[in-house]
Formats: sequence, C-alpha cells, structure tokens
Amino acid sequence: MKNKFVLGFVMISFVVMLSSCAKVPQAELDALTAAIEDARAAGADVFLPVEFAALQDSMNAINTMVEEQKGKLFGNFKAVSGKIAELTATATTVKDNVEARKVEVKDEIDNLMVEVSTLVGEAKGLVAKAPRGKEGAAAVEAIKTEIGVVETAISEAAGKLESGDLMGTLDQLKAAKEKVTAITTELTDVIAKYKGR
Amino acid sequence: MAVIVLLLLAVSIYVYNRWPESPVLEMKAAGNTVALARDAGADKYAPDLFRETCKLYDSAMVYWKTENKRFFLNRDYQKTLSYARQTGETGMKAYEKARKKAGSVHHTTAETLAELEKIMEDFKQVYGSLPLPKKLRENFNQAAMIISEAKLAREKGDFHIAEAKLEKAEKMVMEAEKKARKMIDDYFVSLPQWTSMAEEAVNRSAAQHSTVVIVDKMARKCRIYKSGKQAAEFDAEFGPNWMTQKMRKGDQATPEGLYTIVQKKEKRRTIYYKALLINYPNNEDRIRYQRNIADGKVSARHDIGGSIEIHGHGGRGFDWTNGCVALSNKDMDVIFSMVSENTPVVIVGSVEPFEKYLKNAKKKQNGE
Repeated sequence: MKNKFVLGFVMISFVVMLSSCAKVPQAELDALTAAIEDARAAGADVFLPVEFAALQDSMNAINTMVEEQKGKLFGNFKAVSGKIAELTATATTVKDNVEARKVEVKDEIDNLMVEVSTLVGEAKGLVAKAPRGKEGAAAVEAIKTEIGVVETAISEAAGKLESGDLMGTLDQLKAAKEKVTAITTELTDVIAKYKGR
Repeated sequence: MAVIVLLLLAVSIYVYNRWPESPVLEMKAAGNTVALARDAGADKYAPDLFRETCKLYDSAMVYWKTENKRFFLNRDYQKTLSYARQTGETGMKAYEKARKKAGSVHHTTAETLAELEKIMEDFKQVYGSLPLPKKLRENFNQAAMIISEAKLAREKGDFHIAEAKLEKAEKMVMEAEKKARKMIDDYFVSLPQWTSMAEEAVNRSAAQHSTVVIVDKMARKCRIYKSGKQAAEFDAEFGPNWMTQKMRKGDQATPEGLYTIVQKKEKRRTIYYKALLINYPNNEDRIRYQRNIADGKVSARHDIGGSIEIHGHGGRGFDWTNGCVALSNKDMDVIFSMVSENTPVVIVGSVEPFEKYLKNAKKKQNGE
C-alpha cells in the first residue's frame, strides 16, 4: 500500500514536472501590444519619439523575457507579468502625453497662423508706404513676390493642418514667420533709407 | 518499485540533458543592438540598414516563438540564432553608419546652408533687377522658404530633415541660377552687334561733329555724345520686358536698333512732360516682324506697334513703360535742349559684357 502511494506520488510529481510550465500571460501581453499600438496611432513616434523608442525597446525586452521563460523547464512568468503591467501603464501615459502635446502644438499653430497673417498684412501696408523712387521701388517690386510666397506657404500650411500633419504645419508656419519678419525689416530699411529725401 | 523510480529518474536526467538551450543571450544582444542603432539615429541616418536590422530581429523573434511552441525534443533554435547574429551584424553596420553620418551632417548642413545663403545673395545681386520670368522668381523665393525651414530643423537638432530640405532647396536654386544664366547668355548673344552699332555711331558723331543718343538697356543709361565725346548720361527706365527685342504692339519690350528722332513733343503734344518720338518701326523692324509672322512667333493679328519715345515722368526706379525709354523730367529738359529732329538714337542691349556690367554695378553699390 505504502509502495503504491509512493509510486503514485512520484508519477504525479513527474507529470507535474513535465507539464508544470506556468501559463504565459497572453492577455496581458495582448493588452500591452494594444497599448503601444494606441500610442503609435496617437502619434507618439512623431510627437514623443524618444519615449516611443523606449517603449519599443522595453517591449522587445519583455518578449525576450517571455520566450526565455517559455524555453525553460520550469518557466516562471511572475516577474514578466509585473514588467508587462508597468509598461502597459507607461504606454498609456505616453499616449496621454501625446494628446496633451497635440493640444499644445495646435494652440501654437493657431497663434502662429494669426501672427503670420498679421505680419503679412503689416508687410503689405509697408509696401504701400514704400518709396517709389530709384532702387527702393525695384526692391519693393521684388519684395511683393516674396510676400506672395509667404501667402502660399500659409495656405499650404492650412492644407497640411487639414490633413493632420501638425508638425509639418508648425514648421512651415515658423519658416513663414521668419521670412515675413525679414521682409518687414527689409521694407522698414527701404522706407528709412528714403525718408526725408 | 525501485525499478520504476530509477526509470523515472533516468528519464528526468535525460530530459534535463536534452532540454535545448534557449538563445536568450543572443536575442538580448540582438535587442540591445537594435536599441543602440536607434539611439545613434540609425532610423534617420541609415534608414535602409536600420529597417533591415528590425526585420532580422523580428524574424529571429518569430522563429524563437515558433520553436518554443514545439515539443521540447523537437526544438531547433538554429534559425533564431542565425537571425539574431545577422541582427547584430547589420545593426552594428547601421550604428556605425549613423554615428558617422550624424557626426558629419552637423557640419555639412552648416556648410551647405552658408553656401546656399551666399548663392542666394549673389543671385539677388546679379539677377535682382532683371525681368526674370515670374515662375522662375517664385521658385527662387520658394527655395528661400525651404532654406528657412532647413534652418529651423537644424536649430531643433533634426539634421536629417535639414539635410533633405537643403538638398531640395539647392536643386531649386541651381535650377533658377541655370535658367537665369541662360537668359543672360541668350540676351548677350547680340553683344558684338550692339558694340559695333554703338562704336560706329560714336565714330560717326566724332567724324561729323554731330550728336548721337545711345541707350544702353542693361546699364539703364541714356548717353548723349557730341563730336564723339560723352556729353551727358541719364538714368533710364524701360518696358517690363526690356530684355527681349520688341516684336509687336503691347509686348512691353523696348526695341533695339538704329533710329532717329522724328519729332520733339512738349506741352499739350505729350502726356509725359516732354517726348522725343523715334522712327520705330524702321525697315529692319518691319522685316523682322514679317519674318516672325512667317515663323509663327507673332500672330498676324498683332500690329507691329509704334509711338516709341524717349519721354519724361521717369525716375520711378522700376520698368513701367510700354516699351518707351523714360527719363526724369529734369533729365528730359537737358536732353531736349541737346538734340534735334534727325538726331540718331541707337538702342542696344548692352555695350559691355555681362561680367563687366556686374563688376561696375558692384563697384557702384560699394560706393567705389
């Protein structure tokens, strides 16, 4: 009887040994993958590239840990589960931060759009005031075409904004602002040069 | 009983010994290489190699997962190991390339930016006052905008974006430069003819002790020669398309050729203060006009035009006439007193090569 009990125990132990591989936290892994994908879809790779790269590297590390445990005789996914939960929370935070950054960029775009349009209006006003004599007038004629290019840039930026390219819009408006500021300076110089002549 | 226990023990030892070694270290190393390459900016500066690295890593991971699903005795990690090794090799190549490029792109973009800004400045100086086609001027200004964007990208540390934008701007500037240069070269094809026309006119003035008016379109000057010597020089303005030979009415081009003053107008006879009407179109103009119609360059519906004058209301600083030569009213008073009907008027594109004209313009600008 005693022998049978020992034999049964050994058999059960052996079966447990061979099939005792702990369960892969697949649901958590799927949730993590989805959270990272959500962050990417929100634009994390564009708005927070460093944070997004860190997420990807951590995801790779987790996948390695999972496979490492799967390959073991006695796999243990406890530590991995903790890391997965941690990274899922980070991915969600990154996504939230992206949304916050988007709002910031949109505000910056709105302000720049108004600012650049105002500057273009000012430049046009200066063109009207600019002198019509000698080189001054020739410079003013050239400046008019430059203002035209800035106006084109503003409408291109509006197109980019509509298509959702926030960073492209921002960069284009910043460049337009720099250009129209230079134009205004040039016009002010031309006006000053001929003042009192 | 003992036999069974021993058997189980033997099986356990066998299983333990035959359990395949998982490629953990190799996969960790491969993952680290991917991160290293990305941190070095390989996704920006060596995108092809970096993409390849990521693909290899993904393949290694897929094979690892696949093998882990198999019964342990059937697991074979050779493919995983092979892909992991390739990931390491390609990743290091991407890392090296990116590091090298990132180090140099900071300087190269600064250099290209400085070069392009210099070219832009020179372009403005050389071609700024010339009637370049609108499209060409727009492209040039568009390039200036792209250069501003590249500057901003550099300031943000996005050197790869700055590099791409500078490359685009450089192409546009070079294209504009090439087209503008061609326009100048085409214009100056007639230089030998112009110089000989002007020289002959001055020589004739010297020989006959007469007066001649020479209009130099490129220099924007109207000069009076008396007995072969320059007696006066005035700033002149033309039609907006002054760089082309006049072909028809309304083309806003100022004609080139040998003319004479046929009428002096003042008071109510002109709306431009004072005017000197010349005999455009002369015979040569008519022949050219007919040839242009035959060649299809001018529609027969278009008139050859006329009423080309040297007149007042100039001094505006830009080319605004319909093809006439405009001087300031003060200068019109002077020229009016120096010429008479039948005084020859020679209108030429230039009397000196473009390079010499540029040199003189620069000297004037620097106040030398």
